Amino acid sequence: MLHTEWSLVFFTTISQLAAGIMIAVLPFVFAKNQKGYAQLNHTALYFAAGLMLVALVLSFFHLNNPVNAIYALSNLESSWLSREILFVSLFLFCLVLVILILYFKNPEIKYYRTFILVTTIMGIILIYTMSRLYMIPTVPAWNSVSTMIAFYSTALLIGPAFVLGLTYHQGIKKKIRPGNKTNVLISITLIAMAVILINVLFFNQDVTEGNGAFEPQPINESFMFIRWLTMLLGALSVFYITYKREKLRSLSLVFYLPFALFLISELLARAAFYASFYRIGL
Amino acid sequence: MAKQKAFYFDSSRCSGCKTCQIACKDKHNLNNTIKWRRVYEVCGGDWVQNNQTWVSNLGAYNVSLSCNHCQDPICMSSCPNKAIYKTEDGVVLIDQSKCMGCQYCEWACPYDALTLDPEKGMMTKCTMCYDYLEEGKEPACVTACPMRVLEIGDLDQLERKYGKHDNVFPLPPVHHTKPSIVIRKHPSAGKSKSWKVINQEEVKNASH
Repeated sequence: MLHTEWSLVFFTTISQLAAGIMIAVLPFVFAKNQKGYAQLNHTALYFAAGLMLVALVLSFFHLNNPVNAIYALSNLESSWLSREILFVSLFLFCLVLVILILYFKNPEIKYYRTFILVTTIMGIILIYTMSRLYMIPTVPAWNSVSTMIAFYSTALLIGPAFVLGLTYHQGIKKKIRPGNKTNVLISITLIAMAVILINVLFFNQDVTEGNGAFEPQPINESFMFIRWLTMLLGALSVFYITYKREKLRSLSLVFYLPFALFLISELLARAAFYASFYRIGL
Repeated sequence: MAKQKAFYFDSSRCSGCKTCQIACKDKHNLNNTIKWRRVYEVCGGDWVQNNQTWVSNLGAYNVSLSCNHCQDPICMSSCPNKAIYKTEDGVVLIDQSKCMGCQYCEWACPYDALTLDPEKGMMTKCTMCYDYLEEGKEPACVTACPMRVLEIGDLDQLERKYGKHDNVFPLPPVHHTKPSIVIRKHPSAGKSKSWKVINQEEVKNASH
């Protein structure tokens, strides 16, 4: 019933990417030995802030009367959309503050790492509010824990995949051997993939629930084939760039291949999520 | 109980002429993509075997619906801008000076009562013709119905007069929003479970 909302597909995926980057960069921010990590941290933080700005602009494309967005925080007591908008604002505000600190003061990381943690927590809460707003009691296809699992696993798939690419890329340039923190990133990425699979296989809602007058849209099979193919290729490319890292020195953009493939896969999955809209009743 | 205005609809006598729908569009000058009241044409059933005989439970009926001005309106609790409110009479209205056209209310409403006006960029819905109500008149749909199957009144009075609401297909379970409506169902409505809305193209919300 619902046309795929492309602005929302990109808004939700990109803001989850920003939150995922913040989560993935924490092991580097909190590392005792910061040698070689400063540039990595800075780049990741700049990207997260830039992505959230883009996400905010995209969210306005969904509104038919953006002038009245000034009232969007009026219903925090009962509207999950109000709460989501609050945390979009707080997350972006914290990210901009981090960037301003970096740009004007550039202090040692130990002086603002707690603030980075606070910013990351804002991102984590943002994903929670974002998933709750779709868990509408009258929309059985969305009203389950599956929505929340899907949103968090998107963040934990594409965020660490991006930081992994960044780590390899900057590691090659600066001749730094990636430490065991890249193993953490690879593990998070692979676990997120497993969670996505389990979520699709076991937690997806039965869309025949309820008493709907209108049929849900059939799932476009070729669309979903590309979604799963890109995810599989993304997983294979994680191992490829990890084991062929030294040989890929001259093709450093290849390090972002897993991220790009996972991003395409998740954007397609998100489009399918919106297309699955189906409401009880009318 | 606070005062709650409500519609009564007698599905057993509705001919499906859609005069109510047209009267609503005429009164509110709605463009051709917006319908605040829709008439759902439902049919279904089958021939079922009963020992050595085959019995028909085929049937058809109409349901004329607009916003049900619910007692617990999910559109109102969902709206981030607090643009949706209830009047003292229980009529659910939209303050268009606050609506940002996010359509979140439309996603949530199980009666498909809210429609985007693409020209204004804001949500619109049945107002129960509150301007007529203030003048002591009935809403346009009620006045126009040639079969006299629509009525307006206080919910408790309508329930005393006609009994409790019969929830018929394609209406959702009432616990979600507590709709302020009393429906007398068509005799065939209880016979089958295989009902379908057959005029889907006509009644589906154009903003979907």
